[in-house]
Amino acid sequence: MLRLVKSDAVANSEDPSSRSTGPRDELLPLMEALLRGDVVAKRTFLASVLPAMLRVVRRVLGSHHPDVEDVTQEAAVGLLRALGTFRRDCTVLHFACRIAVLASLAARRRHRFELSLYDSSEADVFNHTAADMPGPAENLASSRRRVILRELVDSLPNAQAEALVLHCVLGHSIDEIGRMTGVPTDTARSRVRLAKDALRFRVTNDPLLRELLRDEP
Amino acid sequence: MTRNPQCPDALLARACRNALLPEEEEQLGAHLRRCDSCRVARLVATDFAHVPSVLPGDDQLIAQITARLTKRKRFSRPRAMVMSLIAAALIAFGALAAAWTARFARSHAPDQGAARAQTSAGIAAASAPTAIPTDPSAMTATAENPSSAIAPNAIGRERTGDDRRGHGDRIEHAEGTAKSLFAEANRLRSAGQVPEAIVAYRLLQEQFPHSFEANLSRVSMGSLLMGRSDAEPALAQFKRYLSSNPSGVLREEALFGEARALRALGRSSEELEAWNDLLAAYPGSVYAPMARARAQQLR
Repeated sequence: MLRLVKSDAVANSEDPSSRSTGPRDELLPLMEALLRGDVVAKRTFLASVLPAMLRVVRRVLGSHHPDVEDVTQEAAVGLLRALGTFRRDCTVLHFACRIAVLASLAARRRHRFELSLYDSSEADVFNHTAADMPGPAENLASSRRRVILRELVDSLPNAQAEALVLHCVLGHSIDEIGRMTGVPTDTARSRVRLAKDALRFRVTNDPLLRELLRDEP
Repeated sequence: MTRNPQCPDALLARACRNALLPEEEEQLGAHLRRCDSCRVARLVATDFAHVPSVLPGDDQLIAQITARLTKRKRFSRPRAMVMSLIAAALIAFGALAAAWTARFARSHAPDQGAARAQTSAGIAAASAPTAIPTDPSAMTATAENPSSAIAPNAIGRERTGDDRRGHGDRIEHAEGTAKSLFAEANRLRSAGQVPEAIVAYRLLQEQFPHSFEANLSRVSMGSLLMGRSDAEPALAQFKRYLSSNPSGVLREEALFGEARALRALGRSSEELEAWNDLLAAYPGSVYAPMARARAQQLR
């Protein structure tokens, strides 16, 4: 019987040309097989990265937004096209998530009007009700802050919007953002700082939030 | 003061993942009391943590997108088409050379037996580029599924003992089959053919127990078995994945599956341990709220 003697993954980990310095990236062998034209590897690769990309799109657009599926597919197409240029500065999954962020931000900017209607709709407010929210006012305030951030990313420069989403929405560190976006750490830090300042300004000056939470920013 | 120039961004990011140590929480809390920007950012991050990002039906949605993106024209890349044409030209050239050799041998050989020998040698020489391609990309382009294109030659040479490439082709053949089985099992699963999908996953695990695909399949199979209330075998699948992939990409899902299976089996203390493991490893997981609630019940 034919048996695996040495897997692609092992072979790749020994490849001195590999630029990954962190722990072994399990998606790299699949990605390389995909780039060689392996259709089955492509299917497996997509099945591996799409759940994370879908989660990112939902966070940026809203859980029940009608364009979630289209934007996820668009992001996946973008990912497949961009894989050839992937520099391995970050993991494949982080690369995929970054593309999902960019696709979601682009979709928001393209359909700003429709999205603003969705952002302020009741569906978004009440579908995101969390069990551990202290009360309806805090729940509404939480929803309002999400709306503010989503509106803010429509108006911020692309790089800052991306950094803000990666940091505040997806919880990536400055180092990770630097690697994901291919910029020096100080640049990433600066983008996050500027975006956070803009967010603070919007949140602290929002009349609805002030009304809802008089003691909160 | 509204902003501290030395904002602890790393702590903020780790707070988003609920991964702060108690002393770090204190450190961040002290900073948030001074820095408005970070306080608002932390607040908004918490707001987004409550957004449900996994919904029922996601499996189908992902399967649909995957199917759409893998359905493509045979030659979507010009390079693949060019390499295919080159491969086809080589084969045609080989066939012509073989025919010419045969005719030449027939007209010049003193006897029929020698002519036949020369013809065989010519055909063998002519078909050599097909049997042992030197350019992997050419092999890829010769068929829709490169693995299946390589496999017959690999098997043939193994039988004749003329395997000049050592284990290489056997590796490709085996991996190709593991990939094919995994893809087929996933297709069956997406189509809702659960018993068939379980059989396919089992076959994959039996035939290629150490392959990447077999490892991934344990989580899928565990979920399918859980759906059929077969908690014991499901637990075995999740445990096997976790033991063989301590930092696997599906570890979060495997831990979640393990905890659910233990719950179904009524093994409360182990279940609590599994939830705790999940929370410790993925404090910001989408399963974290459920894990916390269940762990609290069990304590």
